[in-house]
Amino acid sequence: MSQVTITSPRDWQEHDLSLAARLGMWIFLATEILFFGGIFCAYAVLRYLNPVGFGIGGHETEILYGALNTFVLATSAVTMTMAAKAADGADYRLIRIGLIATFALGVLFLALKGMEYHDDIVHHLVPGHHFALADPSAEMFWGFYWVLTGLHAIHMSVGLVIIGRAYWLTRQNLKLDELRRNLDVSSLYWHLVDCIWFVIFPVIYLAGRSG
Amino acid sequence: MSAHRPDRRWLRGPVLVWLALLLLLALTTWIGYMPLDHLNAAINFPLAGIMVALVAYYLMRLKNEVGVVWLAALAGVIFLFTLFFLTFGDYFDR
Repeated sequence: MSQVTITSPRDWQEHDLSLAARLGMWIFLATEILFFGGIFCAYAVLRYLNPVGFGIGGHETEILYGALNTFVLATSAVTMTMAAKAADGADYRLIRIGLIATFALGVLFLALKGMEYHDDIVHHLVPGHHFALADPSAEMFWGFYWVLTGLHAIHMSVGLVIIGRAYWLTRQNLKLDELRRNLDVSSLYWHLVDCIWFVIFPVIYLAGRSG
Repeated sequence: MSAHRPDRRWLRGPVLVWLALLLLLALTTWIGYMPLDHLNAAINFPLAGIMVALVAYYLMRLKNEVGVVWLAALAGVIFLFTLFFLTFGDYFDR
């Protein structure tokens, strides 16, 4: 009679641990896709029903900040990949350079976002009593602006903590396999935050530009 | 004896993806300003999809992943499309 042995994750080989970590992160990312997807779907329905108001609202967004931040995140996607892939060759110097650059670009993104939020508040673009635009659906658009960009900024802040932790791990006496596994999972999260922004950019900043 | 110098030729791939992302960003912004009526969004959302696909395939390394990871990655996308399909199936019919 054959006997089945269930092993503890402590006894797994690196290959299994790495696959489990990546699979777990991808499942988590799928839930994130659906989390943001629900908001994008609500936005799409309301924009379909109120094209003029959404165009008026979209026209008031700061395209320069939006485009600059897209550039910053596209660049951070590459620096993060640099850090993760450098672990394959035990290139610790490049891992650290990649992580520091990614962290710096993340901070720059949030700084630009903060400046943009400041301008939006000064121009009374926060939905409520003193909202600057008369069209109610333009106000609805700005509700989506704050929710989508705010949730994204929270994810970005979490990403910075994850990158900071990854850098700290490079200073510990970890086995290379363990460090590589951590970098792989950290980079997956960071890239998802980039990808969400690549969708937010046309949805928020390019609405109403052509008219 | 010369010091060990790591091989960094693989950096060419991520840099090419970066250039493609910047090109797509410029194209998306340019199309956003073109007087195309409702076609702007119809063109720009697939372009955003291409940017996401480039990052997922090359930088998130789906290219080298096993089937079960692909399944997890595609699950989110498939359910998202289902959500949009069912929602807009209803609104376009009204």
